[in-house]
Amino acid sequence: MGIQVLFPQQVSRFLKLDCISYIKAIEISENVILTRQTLEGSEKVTMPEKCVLSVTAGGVEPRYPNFKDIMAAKQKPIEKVELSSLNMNASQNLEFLDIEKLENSKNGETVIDEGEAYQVVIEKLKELKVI
Amino acid sequence: MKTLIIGEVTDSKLNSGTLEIINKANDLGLDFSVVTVGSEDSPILGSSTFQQTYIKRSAESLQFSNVADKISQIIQEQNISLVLAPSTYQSRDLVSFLSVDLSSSPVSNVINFEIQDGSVITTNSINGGESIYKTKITSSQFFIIN
Repeated sequence: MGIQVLFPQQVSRFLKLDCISYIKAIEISENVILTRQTLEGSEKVTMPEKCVLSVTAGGVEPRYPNFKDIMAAKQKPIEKVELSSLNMNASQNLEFLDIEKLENSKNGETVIDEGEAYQVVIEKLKELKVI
Repeated sequence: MKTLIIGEVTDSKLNSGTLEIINKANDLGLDFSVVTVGSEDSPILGSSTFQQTYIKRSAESLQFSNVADKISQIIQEQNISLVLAPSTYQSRDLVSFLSVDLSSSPVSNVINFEIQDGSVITTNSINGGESIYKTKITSSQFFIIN
């Protein structure tokens, strides 16, 4: 799952397992080596025996099922789990208020820079009391 | 509203995302303290205007479970009701763990928030910035990722 998602980390916390998040590459040799995205760049870690992994969008290539696999999947039994059987609080604690689509406006000022456009920027910054 | 800011240290200093959140908390007049997480021995931290705790995590540690345990303890001991964190890899891991510990849904991709009658109203960006939506958090503890 991509960077925006918090779900894998939450699952690992429920299961009391390590979570190796934001994986962008996996190498399989004697051990499984994971390359993980970090704030400073990336780091390589050895995958523990049991853990939850989350991968970034560019970290894996999706394998799309063919028609035969899709038909075979339909024959597989699906286990249904009732939410109430899980030891977790699933109550809604967000109230949706409003949604607004942002419009692109073509209104605006166009300045042709003939060497003096920086003055316009300076005036704008003064107007906004930035300088 | 007692608030905890989860900060980050980059190059031995509070990073820009953390400073932005501190600035926002100051603007709203929130009663806040800061917990910073890093792997450096002696980062340049500290302020005379708010309480700050530095948690040095093990550079060998694969993830932030132990750090989350410590922050969870701070939240409960100090009766924190609002947790703010920057939108980074580390903070997303930490807030996810804390939200499970405290049974509260985190709100991510928040571009602004305000306090109205004791409730937190967030403004969130979706669809690649083409739309924004507003939500009100109704749990007793709020987790926001800016």
